[in-house]
Amino acid sequence: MFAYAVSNPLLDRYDPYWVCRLSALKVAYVCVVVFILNAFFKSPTVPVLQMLVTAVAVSATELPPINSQKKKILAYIGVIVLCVTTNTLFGLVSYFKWGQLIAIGAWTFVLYHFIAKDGATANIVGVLVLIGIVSLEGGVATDFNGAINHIFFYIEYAAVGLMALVLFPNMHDHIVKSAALRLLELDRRWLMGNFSLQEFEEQTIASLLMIENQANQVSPAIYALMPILKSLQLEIRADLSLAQQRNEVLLAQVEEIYEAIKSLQRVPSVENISSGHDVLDSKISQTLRDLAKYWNAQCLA
Amino acid sequence: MLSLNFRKRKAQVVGLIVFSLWVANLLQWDEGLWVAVSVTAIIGPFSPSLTLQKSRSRIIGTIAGLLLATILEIFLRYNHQLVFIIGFLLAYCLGFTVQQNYRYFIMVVTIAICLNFEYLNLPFTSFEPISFLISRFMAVLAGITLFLFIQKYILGPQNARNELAESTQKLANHISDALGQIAQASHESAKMGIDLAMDLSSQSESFKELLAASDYGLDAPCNELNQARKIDRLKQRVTSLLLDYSYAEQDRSGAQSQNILKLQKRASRLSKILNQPNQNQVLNA
Repeated sequence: MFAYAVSNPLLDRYDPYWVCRLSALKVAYVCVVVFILNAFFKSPTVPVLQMLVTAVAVSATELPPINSQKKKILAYIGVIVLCVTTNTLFGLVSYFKWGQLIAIGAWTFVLYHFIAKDGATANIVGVLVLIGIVSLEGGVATDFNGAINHIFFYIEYAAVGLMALVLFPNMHDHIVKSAALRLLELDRRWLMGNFSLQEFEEQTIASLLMIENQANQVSPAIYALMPILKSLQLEIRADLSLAQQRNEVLLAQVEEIYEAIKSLQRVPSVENISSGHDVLDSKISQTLRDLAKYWNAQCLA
Repeated sequence: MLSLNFRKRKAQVVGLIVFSLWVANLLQWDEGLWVAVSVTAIIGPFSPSLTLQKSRSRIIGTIAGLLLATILEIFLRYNHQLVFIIGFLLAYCLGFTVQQNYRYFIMVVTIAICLNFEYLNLPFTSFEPISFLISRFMAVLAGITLFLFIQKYILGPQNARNELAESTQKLANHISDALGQIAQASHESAKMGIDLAMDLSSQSESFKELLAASDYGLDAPCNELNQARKIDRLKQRVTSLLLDYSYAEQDRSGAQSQNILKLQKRASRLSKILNQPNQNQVLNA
């Protein structure tokens, strides 16, 4: 499907590293699963809250710090437990005028106290409290009997969501390949001389960080592109004079590898990647040759 | 150990949420709970500067979301069998925007919540999209106004200043650590310069976000802001130095060994400067 190719010119503009596409596919897929589930379950209320909580937990698993399967499962369960506790508690106290304010304030404080250690974790607490307050609009349970019924219903949806999440195919290699494409695009622009050093450094580091974040989520063969790409970026950056003059030979080599990664095909003429004019050019050509050879040998399976 | 400023902000955030709920209860509007929902959503980013910056996106996203939700509600009234498709598309857009653009994310969330609520309250819902739109818009606007007023005029910019100063100090420490590692690196050092540059960049992400939003949180340019901008420039230079070092490390020919020594000396000098008690003077110099 064209939107799910490694590179799509339109989507790459908004989602350069494939992260949003992956997250969107995952949330939509889990939603379809819970919609189907809804056809067979008898819910105590309209089940959008349970679906919302499941969707939020799935979204949380795609956040950058959650970068391994174990962390994803733990984060999913953690978000579900905290969301369900918050919604249940807010529902139980929603009956009281002042008691509601005191209990919501106290629980919010407890969440911030134990979970918020920096801005990012404080953000998670914000989302939990937000869903808790949103849940007050729906048919909340104000007695223990109703609350337990609701909790089981949350758990049913969450368990199915977790199963769907575990069965979701691993597509993180697309993120590494997208990041490699962004690096080669940078090199191309650098070689054409229309890029500042600061921009080059910032974007190189951003792309490398994106690959590093996938270390535990892709096969070691794909992750092993990292050292080659690091060397390539350092070598291309090293000769500032390259930016001043258009280097046709190197540019053609970069272009060839770029097209191969983009279309997930072999680099056709690895041995033709010739050495450049000076020492640095030949080093860059050697690294490009290594990259092409490695791509052909390890990354196409 | 959490800073006093961070703990103070926690208390402010809890206070704001409770106060907005109290206002929602007091007003007894049709969609009054959205006062609290709006305040809680804006407070999400936690930092005063970021919350003020995001409140703009929140206003635009909410208005766009409400308009689209109204259109969708009218559409679904006559095509209720398509709710599955709309739900699927909304879920897809939600997943896409969650890490892409806060404004669009808020727009999609608003649409999703509006439609959700209509279905949650199905037996009682009025199905009058215009009155629904107006009452929800009133509540959202009241929530945003309440937040902006309290944040700007009651809580003030002090918290934002302290936060920026703390974040700047933290980044300065990270820079100093990275320089220290280069200055004392042996030839068999495990971490290359490029790895240190990557670490430094990921450690400075929240700082950069905060610096970009500081115009919203701080009333006027102040010492903390100047200091933060200087540290940001220094970070860029140190990143370049680390990359130079990494390249020299990768290629240990005769000339590069001399380069390594030169870069280590530069790193050592910068690290000493950063560790001096009066950094401000040094940075100005």
